[in-house]
Amino acid sequence: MAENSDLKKLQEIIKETWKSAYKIDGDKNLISTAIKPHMEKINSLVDLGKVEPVNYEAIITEAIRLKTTAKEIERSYVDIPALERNPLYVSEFKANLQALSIMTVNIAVDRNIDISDAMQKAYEEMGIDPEQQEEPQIWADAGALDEYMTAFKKQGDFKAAGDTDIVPKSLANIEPSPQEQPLLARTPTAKIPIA
Amino acid sequence: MSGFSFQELEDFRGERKTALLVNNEGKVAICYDQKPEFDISWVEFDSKAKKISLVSEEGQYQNLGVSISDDMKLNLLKAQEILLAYVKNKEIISCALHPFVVSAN
Repeated sequence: MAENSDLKKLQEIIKETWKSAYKIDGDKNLISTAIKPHMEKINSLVDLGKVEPVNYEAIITEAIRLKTTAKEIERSYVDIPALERNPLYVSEFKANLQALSIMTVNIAVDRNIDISDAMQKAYEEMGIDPEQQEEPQIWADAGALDEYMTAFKKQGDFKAAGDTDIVPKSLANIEPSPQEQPLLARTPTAKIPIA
Repeated sequence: MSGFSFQELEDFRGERKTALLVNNEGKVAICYDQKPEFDISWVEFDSKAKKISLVSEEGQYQNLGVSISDDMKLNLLKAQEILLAYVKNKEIISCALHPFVVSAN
């Protein structure tokens, strides 16, 4: 049954999210402890759905609460030195959170559920300013960022497109070779009307 | 009626200065000089249409508006994450890693 398969995937993703949170928590266990009640509530709602109609709205709201909680606590880990956190585990955790978002949105769209309302509710409950969520995130995991910066500082091996005159030296010491010149040309782009 | 809908916006590049950097290890970065109109959750690459789109949790998506050569396409297929860097006067103001999803519709 398609519905159960969606929920099973959601539960699997949440389980993986919890496991990856545990890996980056160190001895603090903040994220894994905070998201566990949400995980258990989702599991209970799914179990309840086996004997009565599935309450998708409640499941989605809880998944959003879980994701928002995890994201907020992860941000507060900025003060932990990057070297104490394995960048691979951090990437794994973030990838799981994104998978959770994608799965939650998919389920909401399939059931015609207003996910914006659920998100707003979750932000209000947690005292989060939605406007603040729109700010670009400051990348806190210096370990992973350094790796990127080092990669981009290497000479050559890069292809560049767009307005490369804005690229800061810290990201790239790219001196476009004559062969790369066509890639730098500004390309006319079609304007897509707002839906 | 549900308040949720997919909303396609005008090209991200538009009036922004935007650059796409790719290497053969699958490292990818996008630099831009004006903040995005929404909180980006992940970035998608349609390998068939050779289009990169920025996507929000709320269903907004925006084509990057930068042309992608075949060389770049091969390198993009190796990428799993992408660095988005907000740049002013060639100084990085902020940057973040986001998941990079490759689709071949």
